[in-house]
Amino acid sequence: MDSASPEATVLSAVPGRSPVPGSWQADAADASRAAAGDFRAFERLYRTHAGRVHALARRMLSPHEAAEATQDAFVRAWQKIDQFRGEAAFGTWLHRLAVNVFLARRQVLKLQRERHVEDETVLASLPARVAGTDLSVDFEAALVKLPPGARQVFVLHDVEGYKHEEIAGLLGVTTGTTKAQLHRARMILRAHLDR
Amino acid sequence: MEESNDMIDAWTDRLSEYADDSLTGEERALLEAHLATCASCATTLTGLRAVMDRARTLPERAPDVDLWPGIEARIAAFARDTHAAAERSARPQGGGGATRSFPDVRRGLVLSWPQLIAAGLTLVALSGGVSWFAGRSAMRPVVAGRTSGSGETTEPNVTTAATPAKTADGELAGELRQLEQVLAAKRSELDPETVRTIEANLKIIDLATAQAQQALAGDPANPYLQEHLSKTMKKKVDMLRQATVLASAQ
Repeated sequence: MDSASPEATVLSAVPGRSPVPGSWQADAADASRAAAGDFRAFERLYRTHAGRVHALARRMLSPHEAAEATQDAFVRAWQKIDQFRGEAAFGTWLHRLAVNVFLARRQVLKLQRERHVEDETVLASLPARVAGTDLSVDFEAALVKLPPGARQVFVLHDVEGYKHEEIAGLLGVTTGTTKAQLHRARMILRAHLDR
Repeated sequence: MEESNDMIDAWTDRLSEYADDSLTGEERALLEAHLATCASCATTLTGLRAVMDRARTLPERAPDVDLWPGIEARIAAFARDTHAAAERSARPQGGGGATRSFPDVRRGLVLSWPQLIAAGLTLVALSGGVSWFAGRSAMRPVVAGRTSGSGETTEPNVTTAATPAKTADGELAGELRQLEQVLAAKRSELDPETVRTIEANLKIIDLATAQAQQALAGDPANPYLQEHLSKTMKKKVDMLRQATVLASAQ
C-alpha cells in the first residue's frame, strides 16, 4: 500500500499523522490511492460509504435490487475515480454518481412495468402500523410502495436534499412535474402515517 | 365566506410548495389567509410536514451482506481488461502511455471463492450465449438487414463483424486454466455441491465452445446472431451479479 504517497501527505491534517478514518481528508487520500490502483484504499471507501449508497438504492429502486445496484455504483466509482478531483467531498461525488447509476438502471430495467401503479390507494396493501413498530422501517416500507416517479422525486428532494432544478435535470422533466410528483408522494405518505 | 371543494383542492395542491417556502409573497399571504379558516388544509399541512421531518431523519441502511467481495471481483475483471487493452494499444509504440497499475490482479491466483464462483458463472454465461448462437445458426438461415422472424428484433446493418467466440476464446482459455488450477487446489474447502456445479458448467462450456466454433466457421459475421448473443450475455451478466451477491453472503 502506498501510505506515503504525496497525496496522502498533503491531505493529512497534521504532518506525520494519518487523517481520521472516514474523514474528508482520509477519503481524498484513499481516492488518490484507488485511482492509482490500490484496491484496499477503495475497499476503505466502500466500508465508509456503503450504508448511505445502499440506503439510496433501497429507496430509489427497491430493497431486493439494492445490493446489486450498490455493487454497480461502486464498480462505476472505481471506473471513474480518476475523475474525482477533490473539489467536493468524496461522499458527495460518490452520491451523485450513485444517483446517476440508479436512474440509468431504473430506465434500463423499466421497473415501472412491474410496479406501475398510479392508484393512490397503493399503500392500502400495507398493514396498518402496529404500536411499537419501528417507525423508520414502517416509513421505508411505505416509501418503496410509492409510484416510481413520485418515489424518485421524493427520495431525491426530501431524503437527499436535492433541489427541484437538479432533479428535473436528472430525470429529464420540468420542475412543474417534479413539484407535482413531490406533492403527490407526500400526500400518499401522509395518508399512510395517518392510518 | 365558504369556499368550494374545488377551491380547497386548489389550495391543497399548493401546500407542499408552501411547506417548502417556494411560493411568492402574494401566494403565501393568500394561502395563509385560507389556512386560518380551513381546518382540513391546516391538518393536511401538519401531515405533510410530518412526512418531511420523517424523510430528513431516515437512517443509513447498511447491506445485510458484505458486498465487497463481489465488487472486488468485478473491478478486478475490469482492471484486467483495462490493463490488457492498454498493453495491446501500447505494444506497437513500445509503451510510453500512462496506465493505472493493478498489482493485485495481474499476478498469481487471487480469486476469492465468490470471485471464483462469479468467474465460473461468467464462463457459463458465455457458453450459454455461444451455445444458443450455435443452435440458432444451425436451425435457421439469417438474411442480413432484415427483421427477424419473430418481428421483435431488427438486425443491425453491420458489414464487418468480429467473431466474439474467437475473440473471447484465448482470454477464456486462460481464465479456464486458472480456474481449474484453483479448483483443483481448493476444492476441499468449498461446498461439494458448489464444486459439482462448477465442474458441470465447465463441461458444458467445452461442449458449447465446440458447437460455436463449428457454427461460426460457416457464418462468422452474422450480425443478427451477434446482437442476440449480446442480449443473452447481458441477461446472464445480470444474473451473475446476483449470483455474486449470493456467493458473498456465504
